[in-house]
Amino acid sequence: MRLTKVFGKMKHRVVLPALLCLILTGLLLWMWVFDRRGFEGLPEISRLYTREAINTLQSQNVITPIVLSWRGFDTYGEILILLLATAGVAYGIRTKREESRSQRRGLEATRIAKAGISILQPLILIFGAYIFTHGHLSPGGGFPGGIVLSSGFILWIITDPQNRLRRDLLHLLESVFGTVYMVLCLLGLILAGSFMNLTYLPAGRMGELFSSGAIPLIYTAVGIKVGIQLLQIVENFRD
Amino acid sequence: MITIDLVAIALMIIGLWGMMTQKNLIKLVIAFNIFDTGVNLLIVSVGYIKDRMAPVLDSKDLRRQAEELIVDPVPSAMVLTSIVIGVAITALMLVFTVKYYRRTGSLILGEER
Repeated sequence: MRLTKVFGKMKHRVVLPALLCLILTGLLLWMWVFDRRGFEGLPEISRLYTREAINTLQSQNVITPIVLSWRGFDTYGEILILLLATAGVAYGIRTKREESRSQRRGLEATRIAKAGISILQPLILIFGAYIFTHGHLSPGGGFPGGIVLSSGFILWIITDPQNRLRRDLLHLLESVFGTVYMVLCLLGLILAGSFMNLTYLPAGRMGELFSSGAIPLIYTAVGIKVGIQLLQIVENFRD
Repeated sequence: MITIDLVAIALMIIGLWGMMTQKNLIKLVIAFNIFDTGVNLLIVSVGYIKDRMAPVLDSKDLRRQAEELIVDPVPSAMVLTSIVIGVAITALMLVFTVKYYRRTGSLILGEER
């Protein structure tokens, strides 16, 4: 009750400082945008990354080795954040009343969705696998690939409310592929001299599927892990 | 690419405005997502260099003089990370919204029963 009063009174007092903040933020960003005009060519670090990507890894997509190798800790932290979010969703959305969960029936899907899924689901899964195995050749990689992969299963979930994914299997697969990712990164420490150094597999020729060291393997592990984590988030939101 | 910068700043300001003034939790989440999109757009536009191509070396010319022909790959790599984190944070915010609704029966801050 008291809070309502405070918020009701603050309504006008919120708007003016908010406007002031926005104008200041906009001005700062505007100044910064103009400040970096007249900046030509790549910075030194990007030049180094580009040279290394071409010479030592033969990776057609320059972004991929940056994400997985030289800035690999960012990706690792990102996967950990996704894991924490999954755990937070699973913890936060849990209901105590088990029986109400089974009683709550979702909407039945239409006949079109039910007929279409048998054709669409394999295609979506293959497309997801294509995206993350070609992460070093074309735009894409583990994260978009994993999301496409999970969307195939989400389609299966929404066509019938009785369709449930086995959570123990999801946990197991997620742990296995997370371990595979870490082992592939650690192999760099053992075989190539530094953590997340992906040159321990042959670099091959640029533009071929089996090229750029261990990047296709790592992106496969990352893609499946990300897909399963998103599936867990969606599966938890159904409760 | 001044247009993209302006669009990004406008999106960020709209998102910040929403986050500061809205009291409906769903609208807060939407405002956060608009802000997130603006930030990502701004980071990508930092790496843009005029008349250059995406850092995917799919032709001989690009491979030979990549450093003179591609845009900066590092901001793109950063945005790849930030998009996924945005998704994770959105999921968490929605969970808090669900919990708040279950506890108070309302989606609007300051109107608890």
